[in-house]
Amino acid sequence: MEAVREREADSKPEGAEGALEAASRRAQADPIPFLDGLLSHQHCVFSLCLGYARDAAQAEEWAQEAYLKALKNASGLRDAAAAKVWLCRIAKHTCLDGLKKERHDREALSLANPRAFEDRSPETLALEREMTARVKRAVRRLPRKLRDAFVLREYAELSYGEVAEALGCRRGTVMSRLNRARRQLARIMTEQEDAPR
Amino acid sequence: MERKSRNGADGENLGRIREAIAAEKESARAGFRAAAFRARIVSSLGAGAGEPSRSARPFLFAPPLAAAAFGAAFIAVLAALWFFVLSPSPRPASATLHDHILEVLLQSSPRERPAAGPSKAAPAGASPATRVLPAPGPTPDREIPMIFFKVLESLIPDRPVPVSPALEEERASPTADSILFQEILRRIKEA
Repeated sequence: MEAVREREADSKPEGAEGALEAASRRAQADPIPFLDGLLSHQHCVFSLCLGYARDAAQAEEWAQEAYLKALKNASGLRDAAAAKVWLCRIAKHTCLDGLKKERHDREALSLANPRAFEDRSPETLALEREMTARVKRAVRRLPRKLRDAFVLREYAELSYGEVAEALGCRRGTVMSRLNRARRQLARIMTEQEDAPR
Repeated sequence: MERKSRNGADGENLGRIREAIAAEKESARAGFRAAAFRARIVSSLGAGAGEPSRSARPFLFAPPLAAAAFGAAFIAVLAALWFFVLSPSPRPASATLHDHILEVLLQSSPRERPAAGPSKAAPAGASPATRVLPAPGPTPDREIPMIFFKVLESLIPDRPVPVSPALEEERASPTADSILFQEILRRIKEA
């Protein structure tokens, strides 16, 4: 599974990278081609934002902000081959900024997107809603370094190498943080189950 | 035993976490409209035209405008502070009556004043250090408002000043103050 993910991450054609690099140089005058090049990573960015966001609507909003920031700072992209990681780094910072702003607004966690559950029974929906909310609460309780590694890996589905590049640390550090994050998450979930309601 | 069961529970929870994340991503991606997403970004790019970001801040709080407004307000406050508090009191534009009177007052301080007779004016090249003397008695304030001199000037007629009998008496036995006053009057007329 891990190996498949790694291969998928490295499977981008070189032609697309060249076009993206050329588009990034012209981004000040005409940002649309650059935007179209970056939009090939939109699902990855959206999933990453989902890991930090309260719900899908907020994730979409943060992803949009991240894209706008990326377009404004097109000159910051030095290597088109690393556009995905660059974009994920911007999205991560956008999400952390969003969380800071949201700190005063402790809303209850809501379901990801009700439109996607039209074909499920109300009971299944309720259970999934409860589980999603619990997982999100648990992810938010993780220390920041562990949470960043976990979200980049599990939500954005970046490879270990890409996570290491996005976080500016070694691959071994990423693996260690992911292991700790998973164990802590599982412990938090167990505590939530044991806690009296 | 207890630790083993805890590890088992953790492992089970980890599986459920992964399932929950996968389900959440699946549902969120199903609701994600790529075309609408692109359209919103493009419209946000076009100088605020179209549908703005939902988190767009009010116009006045955009960072560049806020910084500019803050800078302008700061400069205005500094200017006002300088103008009303820290600026020096108004000075005469040129050496006129104001300077003459100050000169006379300083020259007439007890340390330099002669015992009798009119005091001498300061020499032309006298340095300020020699003129500012620590007088034991009441000394004139250097920060005398200009309006004082204007009023004084307006009160002095062009024709000769009628001298009262009291002043005549005083002239007969001149005191330091009367000598000073007469000297001031003389200088004013000369000016």
